[in-house]
Amino acid sequence: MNYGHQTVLAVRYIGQGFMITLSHANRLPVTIQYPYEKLITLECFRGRIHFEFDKCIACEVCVRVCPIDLPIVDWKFETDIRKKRLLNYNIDFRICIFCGNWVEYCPTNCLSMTEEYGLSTYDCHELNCNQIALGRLPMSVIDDYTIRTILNSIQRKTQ
Amino acid sequence: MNLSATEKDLMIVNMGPHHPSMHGVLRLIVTLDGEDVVDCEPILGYLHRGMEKIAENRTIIQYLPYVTRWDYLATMFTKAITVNGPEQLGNIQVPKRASYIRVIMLELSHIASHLLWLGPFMADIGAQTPFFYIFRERELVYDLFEAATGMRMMHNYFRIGGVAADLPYGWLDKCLDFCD
Repeated sequence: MNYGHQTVLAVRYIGQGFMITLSHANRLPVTIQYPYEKLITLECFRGRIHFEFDKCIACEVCVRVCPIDLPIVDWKFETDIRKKRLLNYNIDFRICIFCGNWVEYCPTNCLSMTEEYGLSTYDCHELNCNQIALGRLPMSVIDDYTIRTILNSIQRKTQ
Repeated sequence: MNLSATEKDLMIVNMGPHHPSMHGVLRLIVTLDGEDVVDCEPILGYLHRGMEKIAENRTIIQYLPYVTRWDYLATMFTKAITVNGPEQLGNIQVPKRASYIRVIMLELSHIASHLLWLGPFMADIGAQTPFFYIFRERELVYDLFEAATGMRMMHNYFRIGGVAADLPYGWLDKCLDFCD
């Protein structure tokens, strides 16, 4: 290959590389202004855990499936009705890794994962939730009128 | 190290475990002669998390989230190897659709991992901007994972005998859009 041919090839390669940089100028921005705009998460998103106290039968499968044996199930066997009675149910969100293992394994479907992911507090002991705190409904992002919600990001970015 | 440091004026520099080049924790004891690197001794072990000891006390379904976190850049491969072992030992047949889904997920992880190699590699050469372009592409992969599994990175999606849940309805089209 003579020198002119090599120069043409080099210019072409540089041009191809530069076209990539220029094409990024045409694309929509990926960043969202977080406190004022939030992404709507998908319905299978593994956020904070939601627990229905009435459906739980205190079988403790959730404890056995959890990687850290996290849920604390406090039950008492009532001898008169011959069933277990659930006294207290506790999850410590400081330690939970949100793996979602137990949602598959709970036999009565009393567990699900909500769309909340902003669980930070000033006092870490507030994250140790008992069954009343776990049963509260998630704060929906769509209903919050101070936050502009962004739809599913794949549809935005591939335009 | 087979050079004695009293012959010439060699400088021994400790590049400590944390350094700003995002390669993770690796301690290098580097012997320098001026600007040339004469000898380099890596000291490993700063990322050891005791995973084998933890695994002694867990069942397979409890251990899968740990396995995802072994290789946090391409997260499906470690799950695949942890699940393939018991499947072959127990002669458990994986359904064909689950097998195909696993391969698609593994290939997406493969792409994501190579993207994340490319970013810091170019940052080492000197080009800092492609680092952010790479993360933009990885965000697209994360969105695909989130649609299928529920979490962007630490999804435990594989189970012994198949996958945790089926793909949602329009996922393949979005995946093909990504490939374009």
